[in-house]
Amino acid sequence: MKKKKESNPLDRVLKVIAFSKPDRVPIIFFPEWDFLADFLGISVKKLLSNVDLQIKANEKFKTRFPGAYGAVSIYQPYASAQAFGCKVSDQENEIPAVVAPIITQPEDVFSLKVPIPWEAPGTRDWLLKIEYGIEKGVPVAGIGEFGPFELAGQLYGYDRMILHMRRRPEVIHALLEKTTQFMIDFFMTWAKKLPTGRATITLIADHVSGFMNNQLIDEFFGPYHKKITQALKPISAVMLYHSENRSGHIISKIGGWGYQMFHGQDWAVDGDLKKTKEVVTNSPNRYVLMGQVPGRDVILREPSDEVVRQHIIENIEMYAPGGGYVLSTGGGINRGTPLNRLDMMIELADKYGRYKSKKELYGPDEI
Amino acid sequence: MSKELVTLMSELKDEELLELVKSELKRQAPLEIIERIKEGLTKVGDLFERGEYFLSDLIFAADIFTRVNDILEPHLTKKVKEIRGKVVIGTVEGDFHDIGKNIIKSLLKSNGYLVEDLGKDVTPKKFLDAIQKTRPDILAMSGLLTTSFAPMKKTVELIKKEYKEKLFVILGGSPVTEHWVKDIGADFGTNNAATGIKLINKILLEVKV
Repeated sequence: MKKKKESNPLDRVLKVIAFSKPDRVPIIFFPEWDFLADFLGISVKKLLSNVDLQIKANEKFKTRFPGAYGAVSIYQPYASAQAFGCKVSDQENEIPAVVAPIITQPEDVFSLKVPIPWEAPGTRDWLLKIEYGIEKGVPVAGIGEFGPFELAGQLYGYDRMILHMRRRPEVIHALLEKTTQFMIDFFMTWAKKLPTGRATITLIADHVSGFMNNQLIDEFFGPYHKKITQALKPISAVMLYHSENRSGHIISKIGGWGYQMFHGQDWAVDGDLKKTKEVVTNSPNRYVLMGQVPGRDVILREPSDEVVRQHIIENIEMYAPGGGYVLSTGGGINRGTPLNRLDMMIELADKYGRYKSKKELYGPDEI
Repeated sequence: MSKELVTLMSELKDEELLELVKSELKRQAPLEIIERIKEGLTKVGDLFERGEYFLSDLIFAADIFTRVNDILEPHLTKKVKEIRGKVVIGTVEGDFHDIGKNIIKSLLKSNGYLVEDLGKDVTPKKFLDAIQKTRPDILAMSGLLTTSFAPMKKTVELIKKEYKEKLFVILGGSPVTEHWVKDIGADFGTNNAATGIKLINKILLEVKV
């Protein structure tokens, strides 16, 4: 009997996003820059400053893990913060960080100029790198950057920003208007560079929602994300929200902000991980869940392979039935992660995550 | 009114609380007021641990406490009844996040500790210099990024080599786990401020008994 051809990792992901049925639960890996630098045997600084090495590392990663979709790209660290004038740390073999906020007085927010992505440092460098990558034949299909709140935190200082939501709300709203406008401009400019003029997927990383209660989220977070997803609708097929922080309290809101996917962890609703799936599935704005396998504490640091195995199986069994789930670590793949642990995720998705039904939409008993 | 001080603090009703503190100064000793505010802060910590409060609420609570302290300070002859211990604190080299560090600093101060805050991006050498000068009971190192591991380890190694006095090293930050603490060679670790303060109180109580 002729064996049925296996889907490729991207097909699986696309099917899940369409709430259709792949052959098995898909996997996406998000390798961190320091992981990729080690993987290629070079320093982080060298990787981040050289597009050819980034392309090489990405290809090597994808070749090593053919059973998963490698969410790799061409990078420019903290490009948007740089565009506004922030300095970024420059260590040889560590992931860079924004050195200090640039807004010293709250009133300075009102005169802050929104940079033009093609003219500003950071974003201009990134766009040039993307242009170069496309010329080299790299299939760049997605776009992604920090979200408006995260960018605002980098410019204003996170702790002061969080405090001033209550003390100086008019300042924080003015800042968020500016960072939101910049993000929209940047994503639009980037999408124009892509061969089709549209992105398959847009990732927005904004972890600060994990620090805020729902009242603050409804006033300072959701509306700005909604503004971005609405603006990007014509140029992005899928909107993906990413947060590695506590997220159980926003599970019922993410779809309403206009996202079709959420990549995260620590997402138990009312302390119940099973309830998360229920809330998302029954939401009028259903979206795809991705992650929840603890990348740092389990995949990287857990000494026992058996414990890791159980974690992965539990996640597959909890979230894959009924569809709408992508197996992934809750954050990026951290430096030092043993490669056999990533192989284990692929093997277990193959063993425990195969869908049996031929129906287009499938039920909870069909995995 | 004492109960109301606790409630207003725990419910983060800042303006009402500050007004009440001012009027209560006519009736209560400032230290009594501080004690009630601390009770309120403890409740805030408990609500955070139960998942009802978020980090933004902790930051706001710490800020309210600072403002209450500003009102009470001129009325206090001694800020606290007893100095419970000395702590040197800082966010490690390469990390510029100081939300968690600032919260624990406020909580330490309100619990009667003398705190020397070295700020952000603190090198191992700077930690060592401060310890040699201050001779604290506790060194508290904070970091939000996973990349904080290396500078924390370097700092502990340097201190173990150069400083022979009794010193507890406590790590704080969202990536801190039991494995981290063990691998770095620290004594304790926590990823939330409320637990951190309880831990420090417990360590020093056991040592001093």
